[in-house]
Amino acid sequence: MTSVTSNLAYIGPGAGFTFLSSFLVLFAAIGLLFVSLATWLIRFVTQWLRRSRSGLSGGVPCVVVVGLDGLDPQRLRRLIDDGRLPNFKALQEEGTFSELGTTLPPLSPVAWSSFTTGVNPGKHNIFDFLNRDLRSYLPELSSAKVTSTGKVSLLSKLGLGGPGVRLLRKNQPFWRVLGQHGIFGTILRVPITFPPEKFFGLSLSAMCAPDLRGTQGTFTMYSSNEADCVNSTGGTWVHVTEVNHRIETHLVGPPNESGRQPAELTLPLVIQRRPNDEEVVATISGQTIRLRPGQYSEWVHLSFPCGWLKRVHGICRFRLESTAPTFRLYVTPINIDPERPAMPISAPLYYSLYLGKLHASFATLGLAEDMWALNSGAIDEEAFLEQAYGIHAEREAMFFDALKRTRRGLCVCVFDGSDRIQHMFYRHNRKDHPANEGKDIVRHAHVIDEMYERMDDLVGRVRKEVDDDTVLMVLSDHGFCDFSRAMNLNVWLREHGYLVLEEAAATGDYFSGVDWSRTRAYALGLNGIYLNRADRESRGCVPADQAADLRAEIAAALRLVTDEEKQCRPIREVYDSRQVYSGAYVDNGPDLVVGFEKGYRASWETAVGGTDGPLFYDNTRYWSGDHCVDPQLVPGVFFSNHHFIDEHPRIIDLAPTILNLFGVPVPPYMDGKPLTRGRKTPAPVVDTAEPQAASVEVTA
Amino acid sequence: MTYVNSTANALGDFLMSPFRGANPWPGMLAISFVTAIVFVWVFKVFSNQRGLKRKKGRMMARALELLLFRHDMVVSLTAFGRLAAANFSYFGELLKPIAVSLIPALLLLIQIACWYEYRPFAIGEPILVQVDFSDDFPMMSREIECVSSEGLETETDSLRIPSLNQANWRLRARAAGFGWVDVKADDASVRKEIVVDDRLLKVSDRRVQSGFWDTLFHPVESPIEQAVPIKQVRVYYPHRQLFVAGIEVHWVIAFLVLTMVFGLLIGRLFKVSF
Repeated sequence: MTSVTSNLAYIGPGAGFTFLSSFLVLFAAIGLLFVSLATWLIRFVTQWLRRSRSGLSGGVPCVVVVGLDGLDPQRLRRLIDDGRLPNFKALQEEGTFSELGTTLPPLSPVAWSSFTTGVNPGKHNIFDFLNRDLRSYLPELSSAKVTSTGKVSLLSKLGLGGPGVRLLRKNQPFWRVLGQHGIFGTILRVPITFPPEKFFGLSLSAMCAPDLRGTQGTFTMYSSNEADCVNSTGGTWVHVTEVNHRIETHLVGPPNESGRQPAELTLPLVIQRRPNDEEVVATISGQTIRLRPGQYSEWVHLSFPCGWLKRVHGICRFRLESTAPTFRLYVTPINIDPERPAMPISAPLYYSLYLGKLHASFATLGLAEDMWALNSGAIDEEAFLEQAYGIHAEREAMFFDALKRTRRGLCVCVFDGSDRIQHMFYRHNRKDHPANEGKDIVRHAHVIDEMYERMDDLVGRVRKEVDDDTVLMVLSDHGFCDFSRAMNLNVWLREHGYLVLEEAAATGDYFSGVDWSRTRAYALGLNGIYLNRADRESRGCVPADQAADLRAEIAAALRLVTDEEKQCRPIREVYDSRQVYSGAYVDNGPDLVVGFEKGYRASWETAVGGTDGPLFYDNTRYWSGDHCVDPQLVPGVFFSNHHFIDEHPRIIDLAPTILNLFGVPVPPYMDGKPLTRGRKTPAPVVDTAEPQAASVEVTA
Repeated sequence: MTYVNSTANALGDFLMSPFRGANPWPGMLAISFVTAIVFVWVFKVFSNQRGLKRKKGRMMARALELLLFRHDMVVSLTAFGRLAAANFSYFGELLKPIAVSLIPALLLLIQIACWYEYRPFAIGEPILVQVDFSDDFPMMSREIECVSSEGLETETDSLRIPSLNQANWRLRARAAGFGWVDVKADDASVRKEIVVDDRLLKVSDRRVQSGFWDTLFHPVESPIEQAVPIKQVRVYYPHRQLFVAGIEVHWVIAFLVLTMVFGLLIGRLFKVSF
């Protein structure tokens, strides 16, 4: 029995595995630490040499950038004056608070790309959320392209092949320049960083990272009311039938890359109801989830079998909206599982695994807050807010962890819940907002102000984490304004003969029915008008030598447009891209950029190439605030714990400023100029009555 | 303890009875498989699966932290500290399933040892019988005797070792079967079973006087009564050898590896996180 006594530690395979894996990790960690210690001197000398060769000297040890997407300077001033934002006020008093010039157009992908690269859109190639395919004129995502061979190979049948993803943003992020000088960076959720680029640091992708279906977020709504089930933008409505308290349906997942049918991978979803009980039990992907009305589930891990060997992993959350009289179940877009990403969402690849293991699963979708679900009535405002703040909390946890680990170098995190909440609750600013019709205007009347207070609390906690030597910057990419009237630019172009439809053709979105041989201009995206140029578009008809005159002609005509119903001008300025952009990619962008007045925006139809409907109409959707107007009207904000003396800083200046702060030479291709640090004068004067004029980023 | 041993013996005999062949591997595979099922299920029921997953994830994260922040020595060193703490925390999740599994696992291992630690004697093999007397029994001045059953042949007189108060006999196995020796001292007599066979059979290497641990670890034969001046009768059985591709493997290693392999497969089936 000697063996027995000596092996009593073994108490079954379960505990055995736990012991084994635990020791394995521990031993691997010891090995790694040993290697790390052994090579530390070499790495230290290499970095020192690299810094010496770069001539770095006198830089700050650490720069922390907190991006609060869409924070508006006017509202900030009001709330600071009301004493509701003590931490922003403290930053203002100890360092800098000014408006921050945004980009043209003032859209997040454009502005954050200029922040990232320090160049104008003509050099980074992001002009809007959408661009168009020059052959088909169909809209496509401007920031990333999924490349597929289109062939079904043995590898794809096995499930081992897959699509590639290419970042369309050009130029290099300034943190790569820092990395080349041995300065480490942690970059969290900065828009237009999908797919992630390798550099000396860590990054997690954000805006424009797709869901598992390859879209920018497609929710699923199950409803027992067939009338509900009409397809809406950003979501799929599924009619379900209950038999013996049981609903059998399926959840649509990613496209089937194995080349077999069905074209989309699905998972069976079984919902079991209990009589006289509001709780339902959903079974999916081998898991049982208990759902109560009005409550989100935790992140549920989904595993889609694809091919013989591969499984595609995603995560989603469920929310039971109601059980009776209508059964309604909402499922968030299926996010890429950070622990088993179907596409790279972080650099290095295992950074998302680290974050997933450390903080549990988190939203990885670029536009994670499901605005389309609220817009289409799938969820209510309460559910949207809960979701938005839940995602915000996930990012806070990641950011504060990164802040602790990035002792020297750059730490950037962008929080975009502030943008989403303002988009969806702006109607509460105006009682007569058309979006208020038939909606509650009391319950969430103060949501935006409360959101600013939450952001202030976040800033307060960040201030506690950073020391005096660290430069803290808090900024927004643009401000916000009302969106109560929509203008269809394609209808205006059609009415004025620039866009021509084929006779008796069916019209609709995606330029259906457009006669390209006679169309001279078309609008796509949120601010852009494109000429149908013979030397660029596949069916172009405008000769290159007539383009400048045509641009001037359309711009002049647009400046005079009047919204007859409201008796006001919807357009403040129309910019000729050749005059405001410079760089190798100017030709890829719109020829004209429309700067709307506050309250106006390009219609949803314009964004996707819709050519029919009214020229102007009231915006009655929850999506009631926006910033796709003239950039002079919606500057962002810039706070710092250090004093910068420049009166009109621009978002494009921040990349060179941060390089300068670290003592890294600013590359000559950058359009932005480094801001100048100075000493704080004892009596700062901020005129709260009249906002400072912000500069539009214009490059000669 | 007697009842516990009787139950464990009956269960062991029941499970192993179909595998009393010449080859010990079918029995080992079967008992490992059943053990894996039972203990994985116990682990699933009595462990906090969510907590375990979370803590395992944290442990992995801390390990990855070493890789991600390897440029910073301070972060690397503190990450190792956090990893050690996460490891402890992960172990903490084991306490409940260990507490529940400990006694059944102990009884199981003792039972398996009865079948796999030793093998029965082969015909013609010598058998050494060792008897330990009570310290107050004057062994040298008393008559002691070893009587063997049919099929066993006593080859030597007793060899007495006064310093150990111990006597030894050498026997030889002549026929297969469940034989015995009767060791007599004064009026007392203790019978010890001796198994001669070439199959996988349960053997008991010693019969001991009652006492909690002795009885626990030697469950096959009933304990020697306290009044008898014999502490234990031991038979030196040859160790059972298990071979894999010509390499000898101890039964504990074989059992451990097999239960882990089966556990891994069954764990996936049961959706158990370790």
